[in-house]
Amino acid sequence: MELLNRYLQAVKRYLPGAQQDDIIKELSANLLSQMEDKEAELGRPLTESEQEAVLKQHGHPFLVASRYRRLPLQYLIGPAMFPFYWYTLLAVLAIVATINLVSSAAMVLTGKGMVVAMSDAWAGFSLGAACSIGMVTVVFALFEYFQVKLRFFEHWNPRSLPKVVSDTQQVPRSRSIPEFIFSVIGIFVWLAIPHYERTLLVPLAGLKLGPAWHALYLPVLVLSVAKLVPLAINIVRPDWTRLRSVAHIAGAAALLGVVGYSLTAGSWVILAGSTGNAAIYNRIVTVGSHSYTVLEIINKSVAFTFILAGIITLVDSLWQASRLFLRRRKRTVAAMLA
Amino acid sequence: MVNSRSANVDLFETLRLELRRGCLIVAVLAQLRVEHYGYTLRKSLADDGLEIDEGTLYPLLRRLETQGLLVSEWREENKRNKRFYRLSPDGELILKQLLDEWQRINTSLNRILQEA
Repeated sequence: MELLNRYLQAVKRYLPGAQQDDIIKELSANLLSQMEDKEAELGRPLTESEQEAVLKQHGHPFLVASRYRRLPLQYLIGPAMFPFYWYTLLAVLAIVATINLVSSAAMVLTGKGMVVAMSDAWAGFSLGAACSIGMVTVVFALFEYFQVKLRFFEHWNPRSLPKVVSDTQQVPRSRSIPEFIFSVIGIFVWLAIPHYERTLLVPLAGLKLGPAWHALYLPVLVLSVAKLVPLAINIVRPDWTRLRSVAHIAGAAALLGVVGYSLTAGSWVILAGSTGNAAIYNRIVTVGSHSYTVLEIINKSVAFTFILAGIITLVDSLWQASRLFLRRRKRTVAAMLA
Repeated sequence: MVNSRSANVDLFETLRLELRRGCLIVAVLAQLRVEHYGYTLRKSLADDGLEIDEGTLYPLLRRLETQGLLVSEWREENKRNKRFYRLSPDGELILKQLLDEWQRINTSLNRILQEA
Protein backbone atom coordinates (compact mmCIF):
# COMPACT_ATOMS: atom_id res chain seq x y z
CA MET A 1 0.00 0.00 0.00
CA GLU A 2 2.97 2.31 -0.46
CA LEU A 3 1.27 4.02 -3.41
CA LEU A 4 -1.81 4.74 -1.29
CA ASN A 5 0.29 6.23 1.50
CA ARG A 6 2.18 8.41 -0.96
CA TYR A 7 -1.13 9.54 -2.44
CA LEU A 8 -2.60 10.38 0.98
CA GLN A 9 0.51 12.27 1.96
CA ALA A 10 0.31 14.30 -1.25
CA VAL A 11 -3.37 15.12 -0.64
CA LYS A 12 -2.61 16.07 2.99
CA ARG A 13 -0.11 18.72 1.89
CA TYR A 14 -2.89 20.74 0.25
CA LEU A 15 -5.55 20.30 2.93
CA PRO A 16 -6.51 22.97 5.49
CA GLY A 17 -4.42 22.37 8.63
CA ALA A 18 -7.20 21.86 11.18
CA GLN A 19 -8.97 19.17 9.15
CA GLN A 20 -5.97 17.39 7.64
CA ASP A 21 -5.89 14.29 9.86
CA ASP A 22 -9.65 13.81 9.93
CA ILE A 23 -10.03 14.05 6.15
CA ILE A 24 -7.04 11.78 5.48
CA LYS A 25 -8.35 9.13 7.91
CA GLU A 26 -11.72 9.17 6.17
CA LEU A 27 -10.22 9.18 2.68
CA SER A 28 -7.91 6.33 3.61
CA ALA A 29 -10.82 4.20 4.91
CA ASN A 30 -12.84 4.85 1.74
CA LEU A 31 -9.95 4.07 -0.63
CA LEU A 32 -8.97 0.94 1.29
CA SER A 33 -12.57 -0.30 1.18
CA GLN A 34 -12.66 0.35 -2.56
CA MET A 35 -9.40 -1.58 -3.11
CA GLU A 36 -10.55 -4.46 -0.88
CA ASP A 37 -13.78 -4.68 -2.85
CA LYS A 38 -11.81 -4.95 -6.06
CA GLU A 39 -9.53 -7.59 -4.52
CA ALA A 40 -12.57 -9.61 -3.43
CA GLU A 41 -13.95 -9.35 -6.95
CA LEU A 42 -10.65 -10.50 -8.54
CA GLY A 43 -9.88 -13.06 -5.83
CA ARG A 44 -6.28 -11.81 -5.45
CA PRO A 45 -4.36 -8.78 -4.18
CA LEU A 46 -4.24 -5.77 -6.50
CA THR A 47 -1.12 -5.28 -8.59
CA GLU A 48 0.68 -1.96 -8.37
CA SER A 49 -0.74 -0.81 -11.70
CA GLU A 50 -4.28 -1.68 -10.53
CA GLN A 51 -3.73 0.36 -7.35
CA GLU A 52 -2.41 3.13 -9.54
CA ALA A 53 -5.59 2.99 -11.64
CA VAL A 54 -7.80 3.32 -8.53
CA LEU A 55 -5.84 6.35 -7.33
CA LYS A 56 -5.76 7.96 -10.76
CA GLN A 57 -9.52 7.57 -11.00
CA HIS A 58 -9.87 9.27 -7.62
CA GLY A 59 -8.15 12.37 -9.00
CA HIS A 60 -4.98 14.44 -8.71
CA PRO A 61 -4.07 15.12 -5.04
CA PHE A 62 -4.25 18.88 -5.56
CA LEU A 63 -7.76 18.73 -7.06
CA VAL A 64 -9.01 16.30 -4.43
CA ALA A 65 -7.70 18.51 -1.62
CA SER A 66 -8.98 21.71 -3.25
CA ARG A 67 -12.53 20.36 -3.14
CA TYR A 68 -12.26 20.17 0.64
CA ARG A 69 -10.43 23.46 0.86
CA ARG A 70 -13.18 25.40 -0.87
CA LEU A 71 -15.53 24.72 2.03
CA PRO A 72 -17.64 26.62 2.97
CA LEU A 73 -16.79 29.15 0.21
CA GLN A 74 -17.81 27.78 -3.18
CA TYR A 75 -16.98 30.83 -5.31
CA LEU A 76 -14.85 33.90 -4.88
CA ILE A 77 -17.82 35.91 -6.14
CA GLY A 78 -20.98 33.92 -6.75
CA PRO A 79 -23.61 34.36 -9.47
CA ALA A 80 -26.00 36.33 -7.21
CA MET A 81 -23.29 38.85 -6.28
CA PHE A 82 -21.60 38.99 -9.69
CA PRO A 83 -23.86 41.61 -11.41
CA PHE A 84 -23.31 44.05 -8.48
CA TYR A 85 -19.59 43.35 -8.63
CA TRP A 86 -19.39 43.88 -12.39
CA TYR A 87 -21.26 47.21 -12.43
CA THR A 88 -19.33 48.49 -9.40
CA LEU A 89 -16.10 47.60 -11.17
CA LEU A 90 -17.14 49.47 -14.36
CA ALA A 91 -18.24 52.52 -12.35
CA VAL A 92 -14.99 52.60 -10.35
CA LEU A 93 -12.88 52.24 -13.52
CA ALA A 94 -14.82 55.09 -15.16
CA ILE A 95 -14.13 57.28 -12.09
CA VAL A 96 -10.41 56.38 -12.13
CA ALA A 97 -10.23 57.20 -15.87
CA THR A 98 -12.00 60.55 -15.36
CA ILE A 99 -9.74 61.54 -12.44
CA ASN A 100 -6.62 60.78 -14.50
CA LEU A 101 -7.95 62.65 -17.55
CA VAL A 102 -8.76 65.70 -15.44
CA SER A 103 -5.38 65.59 -13.68
CA SER A 104 -3.52 65.31 -16.99
CA ALA A 105 -5.55 68.23 -18.37
CA ALA A 106 -4.55 70.22 -15.26
CA MET A 107 -0.90 69.28 -15.87
CA VAL A 108 -1.08 70.58 -19.43
CA LEU A 109 -2.68 73.80 -18.19
CA THR A 110 0.10 74.29 -15.64
CA GLY A 111 2.71 74.09 -18.38
CA LYS A 112 3.75 70.42 -18.54
CA GLY A 113 4.18 68.93 -21.99
CA MET A 114 1.34 67.05 -23.64
CA VAL A 115 3.33 63.81 -23.99
CA VAL A 116 4.41 63.89 -20.33
CA ALA A 117 0.83 64.56 -19.21
CA MET A 118 -0.57 61.73 -21.35
CA SER A 119 2.04 59.21 -20.19
CA ASP A 120 1.44 60.27 -16.56
CA ALA A 121 -2.30 59.84 -17.10
CA TRP A 122 -1.78 56.36 -18.55
CA ALA A 123 0.57 55.32 -15.72
CA GLY A 124 -1.89 56.72 -13.15
CA PHE A 125 -4.81 54.95 -14.80
CA SER A 126 -2.96 51.60 -14.97
CA LEU A 127 -1.98 51.73 -11.32
CA GLY A 128 -5.37 53.09 -10.20
CA ALA A 129 -7.24 50.49 -12.25
CA ALA A 130 -5.14 47.61 -10.86
CA CYS A 131 -5.63 48.80 -7.26
CA SER A 132 -9.37 49.43 -7.77
CA ILE A 133 -9.95 46.03 -9.37
CA GLY A 134 -8.10 44.42 -6.46
CA MET A 135 -9.96 46.34 -3.77
CA VAL A 136 -13.42 45.91 -5.32
CA THR A 137 -12.76 42.18 -5.78
CA VAL A 138 -11.62 41.76 -2.18
CA VAL A 139 -14.67 43.65 -0.84
CA PHE A 140 -17.10 41.58 -2.90
CA ALA A 141 -15.28 38.34 -2.06
CA LEU A 142 -15.74 39.24 1.63
CA PHE A 143 -19.44 39.99 0.98
CA GLU A 144 -19.69 36.56 -0.65
CA TYR A 145 -17.79 34.84 2.16
CA PHE A 146 -19.97 36.34 4.88
CA GLN A 147 -23.07 35.95 2.69
CA VAL A 148 -23.91 39.66 2.93
CA LYS A 149 -27.27 40.31 1.26
CA LEU A 150 -27.28 43.41 -0.96
CA ARG A 151 -30.75 44.85 -0.64
CA PHE A 152 -30.39 47.81 -3.06
CA PHE A 153 -32.71 46.25 -5.59
CA GLU A 154 -35.29 44.84 -3.21
CA HIS A 155 -37.04 48.16 -2.56
CA TRP A 156 -38.18 49.50 -5.90
CA ASN A 157 -41.38 50.58 -7.53
CA PRO A 158 -42.39 50.06 -11.18
CA ARG A 159 -43.83 53.60 -11.08
CA SER A 160 -40.36 55.05 -10.57
CA LEU A 161 -39.06 53.46 -13.80
CA PRO A 162 -38.50 55.78 -16.82
CA LYS A 163 -41.43 56.25 -19.20
CA VAL A 164 -41.51 54.13 -22.34
CA VAL A 165 -39.74 55.94 -25.17
CA SER A 166 -39.28 54.99 -28.79
CA ASP A 167 -35.90 55.00 -30.51
CA THR A 168 -36.63 58.42 -32.03
CA GLN A 169 -37.25 59.86 -28.57
CA GLN A 170 -33.83 59.06 -27.23
CA VAL A 171 -30.22 59.80 -27.96
CA PRO A 172 -28.71 56.45 -28.97
CA ARG A 173 -25.59 55.47 -27.06
CA SER A 174 -23.99 54.66 -30.42
CA ARG A 175 -24.04 58.44 -30.94
CA SER A 176 -23.42 59.79 -27.43
CA ILE A 177 -20.44 57.54 -26.60
CA PRO A 178 -18.36 58.41 -29.72
CA GLU A 179 -19.37 62.05 -29.26
CA PHE A 180 -18.06 61.94 -25.67
CA ILE A 181 -14.80 60.28 -26.72
CA PHE A 182 -14.19 62.73 -29.58
CA SER A 183 -14.99 65.65 -27.27
CA VAL A 184 -12.35 64.44 -24.79
CA ILE A 185 -9.83 64.08 -27.65
CA GLY A 186 -10.83 67.57 -28.85
CA ILE A 187 -10.12 69.01 -25.38
CA PHE A 188 -6.65 67.48 -25.40
CA VAL A 189 -5.96 68.84 -28.86
CA TRP A 190 -7.12 72.28 -27.66
CA LEU A 191 -4.88 72.00 -24.59
CA ALA A 192 -1.94 71.09 -26.81
CA ILE A 193 -2.27 74.13 -29.10
CA PRO A 194 -0.26 76.64 -26.96
CA HIS A 195 2.57 74.10 -26.67
CA TYR A 196 2.74 73.46 -30.38
CA GLU A 197 2.12 77.04 -31.52
CA ARG A 198 5.15 77.10 -33.83
CA THR A 199 4.30 73.79 -35.49
CA LEU A 200 0.72 74.94 -35.95
CA LEU A 201 1.77 78.19 -37.54
CA VAL A 202 4.41 76.69 -39.88
CA PRO A 203 2.36 77.68 -42.96
CA LEU A 204 2.26 81.18 -41.51
CA ALA A 205 5.94 81.57 -40.63
CA GLY A 206 6.76 84.77 -38.77
CA LEU A 207 3.36 85.01 -37.03
CA LYS A 208 2.25 84.14 -33.50
CA LEU A 209 -1.12 83.75 -31.80
CA GLY A 210 -2.64 87.12 -30.93
CA PRO A 211 -4.81 88.62 -28.13
CA ALA A 212 -8.14 87.48 -29.66
CA TRP A 213 -6.91 83.90 -29.50
CA HIS A 214 -5.80 84.28 -25.85
CA ALA A 215 -9.19 85.77 -24.97
CA LEU A 216 -10.92 82.82 -26.68
CA TYR A 217 -8.73 80.02 -25.33
CA LEU A 218 -9.91 79.60 -21.72
CA PRO A 219 -13.68 80.19 -22.29
CA VAL A 220 -13.68 77.60 -25.12
CA LEU A 221 -11.86 75.14 -22.85
CA VAL A 222 -14.44 75.69 -20.08
CA LEU A 223 -17.31 75.33 -22.59
CA SER A 224 -15.82 72.11 -23.98
CA VAL A 225 -15.42 70.59 -20.50
CA ALA A 226 -18.95 71.72 -19.55
CA LYS A 227 -20.26 70.04 -22.72
CA LEU A 228 -18.97 66.70 -21.41
CA VAL A 229 -21.52 66.78 -18.57
CA PRO A 230 -24.72 66.50 -20.67
CA LEU A 231 -22.94 64.02 -22.96
CA ALA A 232 -22.06 61.80 -20.00
CA ILE A 233 -25.61 62.13 -18.63
CA ASN A 234 -27.02 61.07 -22.01
CA ILE A 235 -24.90 57.92 -21.92
CA VAL A 236 -26.60 56.95 -18.66
CA ARG A 237 -30.03 58.42 -19.53
CA PRO A 238 -30.52 58.33 -23.31
CA ASP A 239 -34.15 59.44 -22.86
CA TRP A 240 -33.13 62.92 -21.55
CA THR A 241 -33.35 64.46 -25.01
CA ARG A 242 -34.51 67.84 -23.72
CA LEU A 243 -31.29 68.18 -21.72
CA ARG A 244 -29.30 67.51 -24.88
CA SER A 245 -31.20 70.14 -26.89
CA VAL A 246 -30.93 72.78 -24.18
CA ALA A 247 -27.22 72.02 -23.68
CA HIS A 248 -26.54 72.22 -27.43
CA ILE A 249 -28.35 75.54 -27.86
CA ALA A 250 -26.74 77.03 -24.75
CA GLY A 251 -23.30 75.77 -25.86
CA ALA A 252 -23.65 77.17 -29.38
CA ALA A 253 -24.93 80.54 -28.10
CA ALA A 254 -22.10 80.73 -25.56
CA LEU A 255 -19.57 79.91 -28.30
CA LEU A 256 -20.91 82.72 -30.47
CA GLY A 257 -20.74 85.09 -27.49
CA VAL A 258 -17.14 84.08 -26.79
CA VAL A 259 -16.14 84.56 -30.43
CA GLY A 260 -17.81 88.00 -30.42
CA TYR A 261 -15.96 88.94 -27.23
CA SER A 262 -12.67 87.69 -28.66
CA LEU A 263 -13.10 89.90 -31.72
CA THR A 264 -13.06 92.97 -29.47
CA ALA A 265 -9.76 91.81 -27.96
CA GLY A 266 -7.81 92.36 -31.17
CA SER A 267 -6.16 90.16 -33.79
CA TRP A 268 -6.03 86.34 -33.95
CA VAL A 269 -2.49 86.27 -35.25
CA ILE A 270 0.18 88.96 -35.00
CA LEU A 271 3.71 89.46 -36.29
CA ALA A 272 6.33 87.63 -34.25
CA GLY A 273 8.90 90.40 -34.09
CA SER A 274 10.56 91.93 -37.12
CA THR A 275 11.11 88.91 -39.33
CA GLY A 276 11.85 88.82 -43.01
CA ASN A 277 8.25 87.82 -43.65
CA ALA A 278 6.91 91.08 -42.14
CA ALA A 279 7.03 92.75 -45.55
CA ILE A 280 4.83 90.00 -47.02
CA TYR A 281 2.23 90.28 -44.23
CA ASN A 282 2.19 94.10 -44.42
CA ARG A 283 1.69 94.12 -48.19
CA ILE A 284 -1.46 96.00 -49.19
CA VAL A 285 -4.08 94.05 -51.12
CA THR A 286 -7.05 95.84 -52.66
CA VAL A 287 -10.38 94.01 -52.55
CA GLY A 288 -13.04 96.02 -54.43
CA SER A 289 -12.91 99.55 -53.05
CA HIS A 290 -11.20 98.45 -49.80
CA SER A 291 -7.53 98.00 -49.12
CA TYR A 292 -6.22 95.50 -46.54
CA THR A 293 -2.87 94.17 -45.45
CA VAL A 294 -2.28 90.38 -45.88
CA LEU A 295 -2.26 90.06 -42.05
CA GLU A 296 -5.67 91.75 -41.83
CA ILE A 297 -7.06 89.31 -44.43
CA ILE A 298 -5.73 86.33 -42.46
CA ASN A 299 -7.31 87.69 -39.24
CA LYS A 300 -10.63 88.38 -40.92
CA SER A 301 -10.62 84.86 -42.43
CA VAL A 302 -10.03 83.27 -39.02
CA ALA A 303 -12.77 85.42 -37.44
CA PHE A 304 -15.15 84.57 -40.30
CA THR A 305 -14.43 80.83 -39.84
CA PHE A 306 -15.13 81.01 -36.10
CA ILE A 307 -18.32 83.03 -36.57
CA LEU A 308 -19.52 80.68 -39.32
CA ALA A 309 -18.79 77.62 -37.13
CA GLY A 310 -20.72 79.22 -34.24
CA ILE A 311 -23.71 80.12 -36.46
CA ILE A 312 -23.84 76.63 -38.05
CA THR A 313 -23.72 74.99 -34.59
CA LEU A 314 -26.45 77.29 -33.27
CA VAL A 315 -28.71 76.78 -36.31
CA ASP A 316 -28.20 73.03 -36.18
CA SER A 317 -29.02 72.98 -32.45
CA LEU A 318 -32.17 75.08 -32.98
CA TRP A 319 -33.21 72.81 -35.89
CA GLN A 320 -32.74 69.64 -33.81
CA ALA A 321 -34.65 71.19 -30.90
CA SER A 322 -37.53 72.32 -33.12
CA ARG A 323 -37.84 68.81 -34.62
CA LEU A 324 -38.00 67.36 -31.13
CA PHE A 325 -40.56 69.94 -30.05
CA LEU A 326 -42.74 69.29 -33.13
CA ARG A 327 -42.59 65.52 -32.58
CA ARG A 328 -43.67 65.93 -28.96
CA ARG A 329 -46.48 68.30 -29.97
CA LYS A 330 -47.69 65.88 -32.66
CA ARG A 331 -47.79 63.07 -30.09
CA THR A 332 -49.69 65.23 -27.59
CA VAL A 333 -52.28 66.21 -30.25
CA ALA A 334 -52.60 62.57 -31.36
CA ALA A 335 -53.09 61.51 -27.74
CA MET A 336 -55.79 64.18 -27.28
CA LEU A 337 -57.65 63.09 -30.43
CA ALA A 338 -57.40 59.39 -29.58
CA MET B 1 -20.41 22.12 -38.60
CA VAL B 2 -17.95 20.13 -36.46
CA ASN B 3 -17.47 23.19 -34.24
CA SER B 4 -21.20 23.65 -33.78
CA ARG B 5 -21.59 19.95 -32.89
CA SER B 6 -18.79 20.16 -30.32
CA ALA B 7 -20.32 23.39 -28.93
CA ASN B 8 -23.64 21.53 -28.57
CA VAL B 9 -21.93 18.68 -26.76
CA ASP B 10 -20.28 21.20 -24.38
CA LEU B 11 -23.58 22.97 -23.85
CA PHE B 12 -25.36 19.68 -23.14
CA GLU B 13 -22.62 18.74 -20.66
CA THR B 14 -22.97 22.08 -18.84
CA LEU B 15 -26.76 21.80 -18.68
CA ARG B 16 -26.56 18.16 -17.60
CA LEU B 17 -24.22 19.09 -14.74
CA GLU B 18 -26.58 21.88 -13.67
CA LEU B 19 -29.53 19.50 -13.74
CA ARG B 20 -27.63 16.82 -11.79
CA ARG B 21 -26.17 19.13 -9.13
CA GLY B 22 -29.39 19.67 -7.21
CA CYS B 23 -30.62 16.11 -7.79
CA LEU B 24 -27.41 14.64 -6.34
CA ILE B 25 -27.93 16.43 -3.04
CA VAL B 26 -31.49 15.12 -2.81
CA ALA B 27 -30.29 11.60 -3.68
CA VAL B 28 -27.50 11.71 -1.06
CA LEU B 29 -29.87 12.97 1.63
CA ALA B 30 -32.45 10.33 0.70
CA GLN B 31 -29.87 7.53 0.71
CA LEU B 32 -28.60 8.61 4.12
CA ARG B 33 -31.92 7.87 5.76
CA VAL B 34 -29.93 4.66 6.28
CA GLU B 35 -26.44 5.02 7.76
CA HIS B 36 -23.48 4.74 5.36
CA TYR B 37 -19.82 5.61 5.20
CA GLY B 38 -18.42 7.31 2.09
CA TYR B 39 -17.52 4.29 -0.01
CA THR B 40 -20.69 2.25 0.66
CA LEU B 41 -22.82 5.33 0.02
CA ARG B 42 -21.19 5.77 -3.38
CA LYS B 43 -21.74 2.10 -4.14
CA SER B 44 -25.38 2.14 -3.10
CA LEU B 45 -26.03 5.26 -5.22
CA ALA B 46 -24.31 3.60 -8.18
CA ASP B 47 -26.36 0.40 -7.63
CA ASP B 48 -29.49 2.57 -7.87
CA GLY B 49 -28.21 4.04 -11.15
CA LEU B 50 -26.70 7.29 -9.89
CA GLU B 51 -22.96 7.32 -10.51
CA ILE B 52 -21.19 10.00 -8.50
CA ASP B 53 -17.52 10.80 -8.54
CA GLU B 54 -15.73 10.30 -5.18
CA GLY B 55 -14.06 13.67 -5.52
CA THR B 56 -17.52 15.25 -5.49
CA LEU B 57 -19.24 12.98 -2.98
CA TYR B 58 -16.80 12.97 -0.07
CA PRO B 59 -16.44 16.78 0.21
CA LEU B 60 -20.22 17.07 -0.31
CA LEU B 61 -20.81 14.87 2.76
CA ARG B 62 -18.69 17.21 4.85
CA ARG B 63 -20.48 20.26 3.49
CA LEU B 64 -23.90 18.79 4.26
CA GLU B 65 -22.68 17.96 7.76
CA THR B 66 -21.40 21.53 8.24
CA GLN B 67 -24.84 22.75 7.17
CA GLY B 68 -26.41 20.56 9.85
CA LEU B 69 -28.22 18.22 7.46
CA LEU B 70 -26.09 15.16 8.34
CA VAL B 71 -24.54 13.80 11.51
CA SER B 72 -21.49 11.58 11.55
CA GLU B 73 -19.59 9.34 13.94
CA TRP B 74 -16.35 7.36 13.76
CA ARG B 75 -16.92 3.65 14.37
CA GLU B 76 -14.92 0.47 13.87
CA GLU B 77 -16.15 -1.91 11.20
CA ASN B 78 -14.15 -4.86 9.84
CA LYS B 79 -11.19 -3.88 12.02
CA ARG B 80 -11.06 -0.40 10.47
CA ASN B 81 -12.28 2.98 11.69
CA LYS B 82 -14.83 4.51 9.33
CA ARG B 83 -16.85 7.67 9.43
CA PHE B 84 -20.55 6.87 9.21
CA TYR B 85 -23.05 9.50 8.09
CA ARG B 86 -26.80 9.65 8.51
CA LEU B 87 -29.56 12.20 8.11
CA SER B 88 -30.01 14.63 11.03
CA PRO B 89 -33.50 15.73 12.20
CA ASP B 90 -32.99 19.03 10.31
CA GLY B 91 -31.88 17.02 7.29
CA GLU B 92 -35.08 14.96 7.42
CA LEU B 93 -37.16 18.13 7.39
CA ILE B 94 -35.20 19.66 4.51
CA LEU B 95 -35.32 16.37 2.58
CA LYS B 96 -39.11 16.27 2.92
CA GLN B 97 -39.37 19.86 1.62
CA LEU B 98 -36.97 19.15 -1.24
CA LEU B 99 -38.89 15.99 -2.23
CA ASP B 100 -42.18 17.93 -2.20
CA GLU B 101 -40.60 20.56 -4.44
CA TRP B 102 -39.16 17.90 -6.70
CA GLN B 103 -42.57 16.21 -6.98
CA ARG B 104 -44.16 19.54 -7.90
CA ILE B 105 -41.55 20.21 -10.59
CA ASN B 106 -41.87 16.65 -11.89
CA THR B 107 -45.67 16.86 -12.08
CA SER B 108 -45.52 20.20 -13.90
CA LEU B 109 -42.88 18.95 -16.29
CA ASN B 110 -44.92 15.83 -17.08
CA ARG B 111 -47.98 17.99 -17.70
CA ILE B 112 -46.00 20.31 -20.00
CA LEU B 113 -44.57 17.34 -21.91
CA GLN B 114 -48.01 15.77 -22.35
CA GLU B 115 -49.40 19.07 -23.66
CA ALA B 116 -46.63 19.34 -26.26
